[in-house]
Amino acid sequence: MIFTWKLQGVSDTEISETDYLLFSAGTYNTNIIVGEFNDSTHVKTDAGVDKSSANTPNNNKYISATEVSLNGGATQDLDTATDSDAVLTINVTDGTFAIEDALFFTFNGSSPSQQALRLDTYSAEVGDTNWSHSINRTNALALTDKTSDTSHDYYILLSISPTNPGICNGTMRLEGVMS
Amino acid sequence: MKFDSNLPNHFFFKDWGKPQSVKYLHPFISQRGGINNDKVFNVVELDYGDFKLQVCIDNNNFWAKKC
Repeated sequence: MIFTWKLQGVSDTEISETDYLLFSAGTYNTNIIVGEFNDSTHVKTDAGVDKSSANTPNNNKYISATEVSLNGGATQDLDTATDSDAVLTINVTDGTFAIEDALFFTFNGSSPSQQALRLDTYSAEVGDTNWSHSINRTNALALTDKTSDTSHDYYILLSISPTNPGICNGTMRLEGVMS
Repeated sequence: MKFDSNLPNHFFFKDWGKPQSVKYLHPFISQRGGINNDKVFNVVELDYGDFKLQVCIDNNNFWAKKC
């Protein structure tokens, strides 16, 4: 199977296996205050380079359980966001196949039951009315099943907030069953 | 482990007859921000109508789950 993760924007930025999705307060690498949410999203390479600097990437900011701000815009209902508004897209290819029981969540990188370091995460699939507090597998965002096809796209809105001062990091996971 | 068709939830495969369908399930994991270390094994799902049986071989271990 081939998984292609992208940060959407005016131009998309691929998130390779060695890249990181970086959330900032404003400009690249600006710290977010504890309890507040991201105002910009970027792709950072393993070498610390801003890979998405020329692509005007999207940003999805958690406002309330049912509301979002898109790219710094006014608060709107989460379920009014469209595919192109999502910060994250994941494409899956492998012949002709269906996908069931797919989940998206963040965790500490070693145990799917454990929350990422100092990180609160909210995610939603485009069309959802409520954010999922997807801080581990137990609280994962359940994604819509995909019927048999040669290519499948997931559009995911994602917003984070630091829970404590200090470096925050974690791992994003997509898991499911192909048949 | 003792297998005895007189015990609850113990059956011979032959008692079930031919499954209505056989589905091959391929669990997958894709990550960013860290390398996955979890094992993933393929599963065969036998649909007998009233129930399904999922079987999986993990190296030397055989797993079966009645759904």
